Amino acid sequence: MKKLFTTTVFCAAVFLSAAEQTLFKSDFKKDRDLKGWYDTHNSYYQGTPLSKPKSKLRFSKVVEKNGEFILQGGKSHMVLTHPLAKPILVNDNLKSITLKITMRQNPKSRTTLIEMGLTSRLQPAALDGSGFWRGRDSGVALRGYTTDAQAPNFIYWRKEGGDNKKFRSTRPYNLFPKKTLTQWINCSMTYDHERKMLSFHCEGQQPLIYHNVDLKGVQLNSFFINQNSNEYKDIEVTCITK
Amino acid sequence: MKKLTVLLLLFTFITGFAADLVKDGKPAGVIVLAEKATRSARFAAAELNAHIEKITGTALPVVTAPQTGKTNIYVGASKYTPANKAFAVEEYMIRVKGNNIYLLGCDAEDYRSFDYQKANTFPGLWEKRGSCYAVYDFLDRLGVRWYLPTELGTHIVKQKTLTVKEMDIRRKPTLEYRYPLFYNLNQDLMAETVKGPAGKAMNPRDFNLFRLRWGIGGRPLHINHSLYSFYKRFPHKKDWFAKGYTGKAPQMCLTNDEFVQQVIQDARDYFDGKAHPSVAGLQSKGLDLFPVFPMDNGSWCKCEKCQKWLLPKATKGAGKYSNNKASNYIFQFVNRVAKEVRKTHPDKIIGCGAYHDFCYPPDFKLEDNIRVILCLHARGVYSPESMQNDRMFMDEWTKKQPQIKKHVWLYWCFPSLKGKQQDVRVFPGFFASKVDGLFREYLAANVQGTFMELSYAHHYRMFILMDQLELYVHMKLSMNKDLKGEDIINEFFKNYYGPAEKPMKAMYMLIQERFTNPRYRTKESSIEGVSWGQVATKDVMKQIDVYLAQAKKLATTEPYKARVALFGKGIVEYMQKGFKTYQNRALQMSGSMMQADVPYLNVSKPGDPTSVNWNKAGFLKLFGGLKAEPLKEKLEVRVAHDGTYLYLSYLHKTDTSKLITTHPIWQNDNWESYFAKQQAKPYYMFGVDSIGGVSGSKWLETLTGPWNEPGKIVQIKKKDSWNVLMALKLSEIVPDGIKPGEILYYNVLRTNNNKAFGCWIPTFAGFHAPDRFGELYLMPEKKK
Repeated sequence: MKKLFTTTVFCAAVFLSAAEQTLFKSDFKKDRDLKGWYDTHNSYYQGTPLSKPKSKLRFSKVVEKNGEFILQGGKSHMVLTHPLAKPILVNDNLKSITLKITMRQNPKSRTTLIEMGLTSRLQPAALDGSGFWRGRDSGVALRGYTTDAQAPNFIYWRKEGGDNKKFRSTRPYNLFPKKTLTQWINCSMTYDHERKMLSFHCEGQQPLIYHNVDLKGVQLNSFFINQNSNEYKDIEVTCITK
Repeated sequence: MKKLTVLLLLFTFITGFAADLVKDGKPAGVIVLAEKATRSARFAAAELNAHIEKITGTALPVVTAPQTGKTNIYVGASKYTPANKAFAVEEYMIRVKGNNIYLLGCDAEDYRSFDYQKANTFPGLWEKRGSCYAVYDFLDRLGVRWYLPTELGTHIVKQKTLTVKEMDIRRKPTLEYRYPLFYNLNQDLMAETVKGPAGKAMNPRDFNLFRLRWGIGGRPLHINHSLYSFYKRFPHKKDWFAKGYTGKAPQMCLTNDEFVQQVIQDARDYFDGKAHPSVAGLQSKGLDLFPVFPMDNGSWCKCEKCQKWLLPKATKGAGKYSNNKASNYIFQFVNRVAKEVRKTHPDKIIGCGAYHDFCYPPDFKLEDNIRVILCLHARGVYSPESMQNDRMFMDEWTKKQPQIKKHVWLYWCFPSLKGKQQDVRVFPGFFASKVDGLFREYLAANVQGTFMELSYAHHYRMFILMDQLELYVHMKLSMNKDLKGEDIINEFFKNYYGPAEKPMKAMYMLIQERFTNPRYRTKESSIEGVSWGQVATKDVMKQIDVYLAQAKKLATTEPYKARVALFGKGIVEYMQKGFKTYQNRALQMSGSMMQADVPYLNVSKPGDPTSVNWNKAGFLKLFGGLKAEPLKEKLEVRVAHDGTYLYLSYLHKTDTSKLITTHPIWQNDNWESYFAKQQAKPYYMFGVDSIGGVSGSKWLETLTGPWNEPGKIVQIKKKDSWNVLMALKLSEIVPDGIKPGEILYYNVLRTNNNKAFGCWIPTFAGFHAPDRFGELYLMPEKKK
């Protein structure tokens, strides 16, 4: 009885002290205009950020397939960003932050890389349409696909422009399973600030974990995904604070 | 009228008599040369006349007999002056008495032809040239200065009348050996530490004039590494060379009696004119000093007899580059040679360096016919620890071996040498305000000469603008210690930059402050990282631009305009390029830092790298060079561990008959491995070549300790592949060891001839770059 009481108190303490917040949750059925999303074309004009982004993304769109509403990326290597519900400052109050995605890759784009991440930027970099401006910005991200090659598949973190990469050191090197080309797959990227770890999980694959990661002081403002005709069913960003 | 005469007499009495050289633009004096004058005297007379003409617009007649009614300027010995023999080596005199001016000194008896337009007819730097010293000293007293080679660097004050007061000076230069090393200069005085097209070399006349005017040279007492000739002369005498090494022995066996006897014989033969100077790496015959100085590395002979002389650990300078680990060993050898040579050649000198692990003096008294050159990190003024250690060993030499005369070898070549080696630009190492203080320390230590490795640039050119003021101050003091460094510096800015004096001085002092003050060096980094990521900041660069703009505005007339422009192009633009390149480099570097998992494997025979299932080991993604070039060679690096050993497999698929194997490890084809517990010192490293050579070192704060047996190493060499398998104890590869679940900081380089063509983490700098070690995560054993 005493043990049960202790366990209950402990669990209550954990639940009370740790709070999970949703920072973004997609609902493409309701958000057919992709409001709040940015691509390079609607957020910049000739490299200058627009004070009022254009209302529509240039290429990506929401489409209905088999009764499901999905975000279909345009034929562009550039990324889409969406701000988090509130900026997340990485400090001792943050336990972890997670980006979860349900997606599939267009088989015609199998040779292009899938990208996703959390960034200190608000909009894609006008320079090359990526989630970080070259030599600037901070965050966590990945690049990879379904091909078993070491160099193109990696997770990385960066602080003020400096990337730190981690590849798998043993085969298979690919971050995504082959079925990503045919089925919806669930994957998630978590930055665990308490344990100083960045991990990437994708169903059917070994997780890849980057140890000794420290983003202290970084403010994460948005997440990004890339287009390349990829399809996204669900996207969710959550964080756990103390 | 009577009153005026009295006043004039009184004035003359107070001020002394003044001899006229030129009056109202017309010659009032003549230069008197002996009918058979030395080359030094004829050259000195030409220099004197050329400068008098620059000042007054009038040259003086050159005659061979004094003329009445004129001021007679006697240059060099003649029947009207004291004889050449009346002067000691290096001695000279300046006497202005009545209408006679004597400018002469100890000259070489060299009467070969002389042509003022032909550099190859000028006196040599190492020839006796007292009359030249006298003329240059005299011109200095007339206000002439040479701040740089060519007309641009020459400072004169134009005047129609030139007079000189009475004086009587007889002296020698303060130092008898004054040798800043100049390979050559560019005619436009510019230089680069980043490779590019070679500039036009300075014409020999300007180059020689500059060196002679600055007093470079003196008594030729050259001390440098001297035993390299043994490789060619005695390849068959295997016993004479260092034992315990594969391939080419890095050193001699300094206790081998036959070898020592040969060195003694070489010295005697050299002094007797029988041996070619090259036996000791010299270039001239007939010098008074024979160097006995081992090769430039610390890989000492491993025979029992030699090892007995070596300390297991340095007891002085411990933890520093300059220490005493090999002092007794080296100097027992040098002393043996000196003692024997003295018996037959009592007036000759044996020279050796006090260098690296034989910087401190030995425990025994040395023969006083030894001269030692102390190697000092004189430009490392930003490192109080390094400077203090230099002072300590210099002080020990003074106290424990007071009979020994010394030279100093000044490493003014840093940071430029590192920049040149790494093909990057460096923050200028200005430190002129410190030169006077350091110079006094050398004098207090009985230093008789200075050899200076100056700032290097590509194409065998020196970066004169990096050293301009420092070297000017040092050379002025070398010629005359009674001058004051601060006065020389103040006068330099006033004379050289004229109306732009203030901003140019402020700019120099800002650069000097940033370079010399340790507080601007916040962390260990590459020379480029320190230069442009720490010492220079955006604000500093901006302020430099402001000063330069101010100076350009003020310097509207020549030569000041050109001098400001030269500094702007040669230093400020160089700095701007360095700063900008580093910012871009940071972008390149940003994608190359990595972490890799090291799988835990069960190894059937722990510690035996051949029993590892390498198919299950981890692969590291490699680059093809230190600047993140793509990999061209077929290289593979695999990593694994078993909780006790780290296993490494380095594979190069190549034609192994082409691997370089005939040099010391670092020049041979080799793999270099680096290990640490953090991205900083301390770290351990070793190299392994394809013939089984292993050499390594433990880099603590600054100490280089050996690490020659890092673990079990197995070589598998086939026709088309070279595989090195290693098992290294996790408890020994870093201080206090490392365990599974922890991160090992590491890098691996594939190199030959000091070039890397494969690496895990590109350093964007040299090989030793602990701030660029990558992370190996030692995966814990999977729970069953």
